[in-house]
Amino acid sequence: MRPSHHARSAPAPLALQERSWGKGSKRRPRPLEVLSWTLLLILLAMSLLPFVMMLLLSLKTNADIFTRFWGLPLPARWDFYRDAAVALKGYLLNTLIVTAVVVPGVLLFSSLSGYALARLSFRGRDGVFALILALLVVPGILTLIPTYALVQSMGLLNTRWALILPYLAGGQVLGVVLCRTFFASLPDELFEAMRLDGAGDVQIYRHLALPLSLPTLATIAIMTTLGIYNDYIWPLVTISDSSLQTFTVGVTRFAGEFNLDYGPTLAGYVIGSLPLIVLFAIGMRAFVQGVTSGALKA
Amino acid sequence: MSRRRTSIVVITLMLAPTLVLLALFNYYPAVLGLSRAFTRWETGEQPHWIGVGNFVAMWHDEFLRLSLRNLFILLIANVLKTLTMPLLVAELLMGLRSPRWQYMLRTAFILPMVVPGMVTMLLWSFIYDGSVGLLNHLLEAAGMGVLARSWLGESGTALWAIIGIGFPWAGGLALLIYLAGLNQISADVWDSCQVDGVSGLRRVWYVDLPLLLPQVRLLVILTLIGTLQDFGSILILTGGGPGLATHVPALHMYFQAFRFGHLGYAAAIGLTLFVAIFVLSLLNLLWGRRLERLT
Repeated sequence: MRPSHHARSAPAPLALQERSWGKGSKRRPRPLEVLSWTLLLILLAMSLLPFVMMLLLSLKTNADIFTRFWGLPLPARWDFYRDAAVALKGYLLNTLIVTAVVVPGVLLFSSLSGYALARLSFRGRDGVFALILALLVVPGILTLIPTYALVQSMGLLNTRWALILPYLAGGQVLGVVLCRTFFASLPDELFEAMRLDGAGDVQIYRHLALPLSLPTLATIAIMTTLGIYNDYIWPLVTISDSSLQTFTVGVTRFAGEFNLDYGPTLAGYVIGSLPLIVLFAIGMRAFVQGVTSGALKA
Repeated sequence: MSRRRTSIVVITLMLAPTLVLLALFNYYPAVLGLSRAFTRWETGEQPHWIGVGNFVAMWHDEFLRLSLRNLFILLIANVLKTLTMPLLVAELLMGLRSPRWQYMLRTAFILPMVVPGMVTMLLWSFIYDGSVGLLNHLLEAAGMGVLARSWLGESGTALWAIIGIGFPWAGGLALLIYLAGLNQISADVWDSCQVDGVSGLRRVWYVDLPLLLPQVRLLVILTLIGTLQDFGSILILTGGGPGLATHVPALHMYFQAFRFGHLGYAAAIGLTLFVAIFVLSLLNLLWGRRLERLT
């Protein structure tokens, strides 16, 4: 449980560095390399096949799928995408609303606490941090039912708060750990210099710590977004009103609206994948770091 | 170094949002999860203490016992999946001489990670479909149409179909972690391997694998923890069926709580799974200590 790659000064992102053995040698391609390429391309094709199938069949009518499964989608039914978008719009919007509230909150609270735990001295500081670290080993399976009972007794079932509040709390566990580790890795001189200039803690947090921690915050933001986007069980049990339901639960139900038409259903899967693909395209580095540091949360 | 003391008010304000939220939504449920496991607690009723009653009931629960067999198969299969294909792909990628191609292929391999987990699940349930499924179409194209079936709908194949999801299991988190580990191996090590004529599979077995043990250790524990807890995908794909063919303890917990309202009994199952996870994590930690002492 050491997110140490954040602490390192060289920002070489995990798994992004490249190196090959035998680099720079200008020999003929060895048979081994040819074999590598062949194997890699076969495995890649097999890995991507389901997604290629999703794209192709999403443009076909049922009749087309049944009679010419392997044929190209001609004519391509782009209108399926419009139908699917209409059916999924509400669910996607709900996920967006929850994410838009939770992610900034997690970033703000995690960075404030991380700053206090790393750069301010007070009694019980290490104890507080140890308590937060301990939460890393508490699995969701233990807390699912009690948290449900808690949210129920608070009268929050079937409201957005049932999603927002637990996500806001849960996202901070790793958030605080990553922020604290990062702030603790910064050299004392930076902070001393600002202190000598008469800056208070709030100013130092705002103008020094926060700007420097942007890469860490991006990692936390992506991790939190992924967590919310992929969560199925929690919205399933807490939200019964479909107008409040999130994408991940909604996508399992919306197929019914198309009388088992596969084309629009698969088009909906494509549409639902777009937000994460866009996120990946924007910040692949933070994405890779987010996924790998998310793995540290057992 | 003299560090100016910050006023306790500022410190409290900075920590308060985190601590209040964690206390309410993380610590309190965790403590509740430990204590309510020892109560008889039905939906809408007050819990009352029954000691180890729930655990005795678990011992005699036929469904739970049958679900353990499936869990065991899933645990082994998932660990094997993590330890083989992603490692193979990582080694093959490291063997490429062009860093640019290495990077592009790596990106292509992790692309499926970007697709929402639920979409992947639904896509695979479509692949396994008896009438329009891709798998049956592939079998027919290969002249093995007699094998075609509803893969998730028959008790003989359902569990294996679930294990098959994501075939050929080559990308994902495991690939990223192996690549990170291989990148940490110093270039000198591989250079001297080349000088000594240690290459190919022999290098992988005698040099890379021992150096990758920390990554292997991490992936094994993550897979075990993930498999013990996961029931969302099974709920979507088969609901535990047909019959009990894909039933697992975590799903049993879910049904007990949210279908039958036996919250106390479900909490006991949750606590048991937590203890299993905790013990496995401890063993993993000890394994790590031993590795450190050996090296």
